[in-house]
Amino acid sequence: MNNTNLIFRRVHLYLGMLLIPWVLIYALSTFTFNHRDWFRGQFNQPDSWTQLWKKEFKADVPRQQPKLKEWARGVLDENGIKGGFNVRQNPQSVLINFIQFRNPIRVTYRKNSGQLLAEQKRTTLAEMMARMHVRHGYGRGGVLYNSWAFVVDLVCFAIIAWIATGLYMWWKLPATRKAGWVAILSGLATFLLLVFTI
Amino acid sequence: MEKIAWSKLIRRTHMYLALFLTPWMVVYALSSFIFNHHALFSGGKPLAQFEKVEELPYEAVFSDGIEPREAGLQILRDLDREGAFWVGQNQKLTAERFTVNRNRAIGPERIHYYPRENKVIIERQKTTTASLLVGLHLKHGIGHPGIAANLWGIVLDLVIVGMLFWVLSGVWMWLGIKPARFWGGVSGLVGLGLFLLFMFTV
Repeated sequence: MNNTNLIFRRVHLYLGMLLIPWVLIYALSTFTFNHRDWFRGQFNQPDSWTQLWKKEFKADVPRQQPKLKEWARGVLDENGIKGGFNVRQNPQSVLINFIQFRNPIRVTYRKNSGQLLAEQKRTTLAEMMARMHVRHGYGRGGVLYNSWAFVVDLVCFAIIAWIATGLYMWWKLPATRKAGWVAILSGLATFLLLVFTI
Repeated sequence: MEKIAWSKLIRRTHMYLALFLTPWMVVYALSSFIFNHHALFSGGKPLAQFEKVEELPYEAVFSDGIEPREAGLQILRDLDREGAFWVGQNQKLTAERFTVNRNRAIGPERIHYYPRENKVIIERQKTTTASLLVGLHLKHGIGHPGIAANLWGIVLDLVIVGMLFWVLSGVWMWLGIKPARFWGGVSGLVGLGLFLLFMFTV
């Protein structure tokens, strides 16, 4: 086996071994998306939010999003909640969603009654996998949050690398060329047919 | 002899399944990269804008208590635009506007029905490479009207089977390559360790 062949095989294999958990999560969560009716009971179950604490609280809430985000960061810090979050408001309340794979927390500030309420969600496996599937993007929290985004990039790169090295390995097996072409062309034809007719 | 035949079957299935599903995997890789660097591709705006293409008179009678999805399907049928679609589940036909999203792969449409004015306005999204890839990434589900949309859902199931099979057969092939056992094992454990770290801390 020449050097290039060996390098391609090992890159294909080691990248695959490294990213097994992500491939499994993406596959299984996609199954729950594709068959939503079968998993309806697994998402947004009633009474899945449990109150953690409730406090009297009065504050002027900034209107602009960057300042609102800063304000929400302060509220979370004061209450010992660290990590990535998103925030939105309407005339009655502010909702801060503290993003976590396993047990997300939401903090609601009710402007009129001056109450700050923290609740934690009881999560099903399907919900946790769905959260992992959709999590992406840099700059939403600390180092670990950005590291997850980096792994998402790595998965994107890995898929392209698996395809490139896979094509190379296929080409090195002359006995499989004909059937390989049939597989590639039938896949491409099916794909194009669907894209142009959906 | 039987073991060799079995081994060959697994290796060939691993390969041919991958060759067949290559277009889908390319779409998922590129579109995931777009999601992960959204601002880079969108500049803070939607990936592609919707533009008004048609305004038509439209009168319809809906059965009492009709679900939003059924109403959406009726509108699409009346306008001869059947296919994969979605509607916001909180929409009401008594509201000023009821929107049906006809999510074609190329040129997705928004059909706004105005019950009080008896008209529909159709908007179409200008397709860009990024919006096409993202649109394809988001397509899923079985039970849409039309064969093509359901076939996409079936192929998506095949992608899922493919991913699970690649993992299982990949691990099996790794165990058969003695010189790769150590570093393959290290890669697997590092991946698992990182994943668990993320799971319990992020």
